[in-house]
Amino acid sequence: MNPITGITTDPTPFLLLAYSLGAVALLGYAHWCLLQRRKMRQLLAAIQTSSSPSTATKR
Amino acid sequence: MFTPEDRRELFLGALFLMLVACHWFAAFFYAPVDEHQGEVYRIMFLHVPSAITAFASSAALAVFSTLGLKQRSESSLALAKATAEVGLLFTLLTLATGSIWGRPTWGTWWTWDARLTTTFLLALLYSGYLLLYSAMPAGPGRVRACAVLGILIFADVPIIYKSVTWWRTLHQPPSMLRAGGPTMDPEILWTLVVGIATLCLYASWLIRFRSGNIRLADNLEAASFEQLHS
Repeated sequence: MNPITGITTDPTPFLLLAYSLGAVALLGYAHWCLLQRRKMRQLLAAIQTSSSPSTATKR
Repeated sequence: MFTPEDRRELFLGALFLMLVACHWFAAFFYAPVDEHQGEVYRIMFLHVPSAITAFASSAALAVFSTLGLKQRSESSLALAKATAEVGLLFTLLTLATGSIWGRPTWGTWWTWDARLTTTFLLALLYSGYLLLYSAMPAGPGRVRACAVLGILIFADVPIIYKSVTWWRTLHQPPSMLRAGGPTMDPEILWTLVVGIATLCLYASWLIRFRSGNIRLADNLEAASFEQLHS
């Protein structure tokens, strides 16, 4: 109940909205960081492989 | 493609995330219903920990900025940038959850109240920091400029905290850190304290993981530059 107006509102949509937003923010940012880490590891490995002397000899 | 160190970090992140999930479970099934507000007050268990994490992030940003200014190192700057990103994330979450809580309790989604306005200012300051970082070329100039702004951002936190006592606001006065002790029921208080601890742990993991990415991006840039010029 609103202590100022005395109007009772169904709390479910507000709770659902707040906690869904929280879950999206916490998981979303971590997921973005995870994808970024994987992509960078792949790129770094590709650079190291292409610049290694053994690969250069093969080519 | 992940290294064993990455896997260890990810395991730790998953563990902290599980702790946050356990806290949310306690927020709904352990904490009792509020006498005045009813069930909707449970937004507090997300709103208050998010706010404290956002404020703690600005303190951490000031520490990393001071270190960056002293050592003039890019590694401190990577930590500071990651902290600003995480700080912005939690400030936006605080504003959003506060707005959602405000609708059923105050009858409005937003008002230019002192507490809300100063918290909005914190979000703008974090955004400004990230813009400054992106706009400047890497080097001692960027380290110095970002460090100065990083320290200045922390000045907003005491203003946010005292805003409810300095000005007439719609926001409630402090109910945890106040003279005479907290006014909350012990079960509610403990759920809140655990929530603050778990969210701060998760945020510190996010900062560590993201700063690792920033350093990795620098290494990648250096490696590709080296390859181009060899």
